[in-house]
Amino acid sequence: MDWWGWVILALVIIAILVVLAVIVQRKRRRGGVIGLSKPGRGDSA
Amino acid sequence: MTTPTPMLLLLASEVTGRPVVTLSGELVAEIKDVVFERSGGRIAGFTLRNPGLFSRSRKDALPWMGVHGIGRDAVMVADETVLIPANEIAPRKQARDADVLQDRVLTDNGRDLGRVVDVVLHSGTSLEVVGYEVEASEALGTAGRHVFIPLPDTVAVSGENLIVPAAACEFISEDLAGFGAAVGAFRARLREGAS
Repeated sequence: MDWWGWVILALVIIAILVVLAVIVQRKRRRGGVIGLSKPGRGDSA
Repeated sequence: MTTPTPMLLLLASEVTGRPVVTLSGELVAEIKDVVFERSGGRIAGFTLRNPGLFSRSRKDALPWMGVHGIGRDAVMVADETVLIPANEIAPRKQARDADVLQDRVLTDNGRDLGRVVDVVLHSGTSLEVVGYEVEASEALGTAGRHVFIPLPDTVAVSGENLIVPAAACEFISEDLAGFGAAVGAFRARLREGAS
């Protein structure tokens, strides 16, 4: 493979990694609603 | 007959991601999770994360008693001293499996109403869970649509399924605007039934 082939391959891999990182981060940042049967100290408010 | 008091309602998804700002204007964190008490529906507090796209969760949390006010764009606190260790509000082991989003809602007579996509909060002197927004199951005749299911004053929940009284089906609302009245009427019905 010529040098430009490696460059394109590298760019494709980087693009895939960026997309995966964004997907994972969006999932991680989506907040939850946690229902606890025994909440801690904050419960006494 | 009394008219149910209008309720100031908001969705949990509207609170998550809101910045936490001190009264002196300092940005402290963002709201990550809403933590509530399953037995009574009262909000215990919020877990936090640092602001920014690739930020991490914080090891401290905001208890409800530390909230100065919840506005449309930010959650206000007096200062950073109101924050407490996150484990005191939501121990990590418990919190991992306690997210109600995507949990199944069943009536106490075994009817599957759908899966929770959001939680409706009532903002007053305290913040409490008053209903679930669910993606309706076929049992409701509106499969796939999002509807609001009111909850009683005392939410008795444990395990992976969220149980609501069968009478809740009569007070299901299709929009948040009319949902406050539905919650009031539903709770009045339950009190009548109990007395």
